[in-house]
Amino acid sequence: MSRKVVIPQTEREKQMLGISEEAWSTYNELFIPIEDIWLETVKPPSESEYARTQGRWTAEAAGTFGEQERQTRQELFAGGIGPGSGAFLSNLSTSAANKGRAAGAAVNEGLNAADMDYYQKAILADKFGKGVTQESIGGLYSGASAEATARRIGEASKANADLARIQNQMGWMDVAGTGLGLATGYGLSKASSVGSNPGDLVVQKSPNSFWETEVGSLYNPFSGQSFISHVTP
Amino acid sequence: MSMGGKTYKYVPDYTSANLMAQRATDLWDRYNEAYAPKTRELISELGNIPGRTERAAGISGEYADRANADMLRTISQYGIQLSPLQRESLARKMESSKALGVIAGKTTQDDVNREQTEWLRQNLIQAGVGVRGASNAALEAAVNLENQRNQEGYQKAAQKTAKSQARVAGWQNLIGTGASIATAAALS
Repeated sequence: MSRKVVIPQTEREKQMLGISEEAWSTYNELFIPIEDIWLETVKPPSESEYARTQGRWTAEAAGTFGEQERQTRQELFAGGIGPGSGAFLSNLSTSAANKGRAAGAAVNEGLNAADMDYYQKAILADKFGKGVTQESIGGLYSGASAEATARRIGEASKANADLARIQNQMGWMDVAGTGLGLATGYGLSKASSVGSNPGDLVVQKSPNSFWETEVGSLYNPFSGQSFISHVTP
Repeated sequence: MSMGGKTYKYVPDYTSANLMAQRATDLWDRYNEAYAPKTRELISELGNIPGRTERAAGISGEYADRANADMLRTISQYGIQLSPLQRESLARKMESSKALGVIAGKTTQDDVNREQTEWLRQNLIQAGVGVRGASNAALEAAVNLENQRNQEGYQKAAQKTAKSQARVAGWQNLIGTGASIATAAALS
């Protein structure tokens, strides 16, 4: 039957565990929802987002080019170049070509920027995720390592206790051996009528241990009791 | 009272270690549920990038058409009557400016695609390094724990052997002492 030894948590341990629990709850209640909301936005632009981006850049280009075209025409008219002239038509077509190319480029750039925004966000999400995995593995290892250390110390202490118990048992075996020897010796000497006092004989001839000298005399084998029956193995 | 003396056993407390292990598992689940899908989605994006060239070409063509339509509207607003030759020349100009616009759009987009693909690949490789690192860190942790367990096993085996041998020695003592005393008694 073994007895349990319990060392309760110290106040400092309790405080640290309390702080950890509180901070963890705060993280879960306040920050996980924010992470989730943000993660929801980490996705490729939808068709409607592309359309919005295109609309914005189209308006931007139209505003810029509309103003330029107006100014150019006023300059042409001021220079005596009328709407029916070849120069006016040439200017119109060149202007249209430039406008089309620039507006197309601006819209494409806007759509590419929208794609790039998504890529950057997704890479940032990956970095956040990487932090989560590192904490996870680090934590699991620390926990398991602490447990293994405690178990190892526990095993070592159990082994010490086992050896102590065996040594104890060996002591009792010595006693039993002595008793058995005394009893057998007594029986033999009685049978052969050798020796006058078997108790003296044994104790004097074999004073090997505390048990043989002290306990052996306490448990007198001449009482007729078998000493072996008292030994608890 | 036991003849073998009392045995005391310490009851280890794993409250914090268990809490940490649970939290680590939760965090790993969180990574797999919330973050890893984003990285997978991003990797699949690499395959979509080449398609952007067609999108850019379409937009360049669309805006060239819009600009040409604006020009024709302006001509109409000013009441300009085009001769057949002018009309034909203008149509050719409009066609060629659109074709040039589409080609420019495609060329520019190809450059952008290359840049974005390169940027994404580099960053995803970096992300892969992180995943590989996580795998190695976990394996290293497992190796360390395994080492600790093996050491513990060796110690335990040695202790059990010592215990068993001590028991045998005890019995040998019992028999030996008994026999020697008996012999001594018989001889005396």
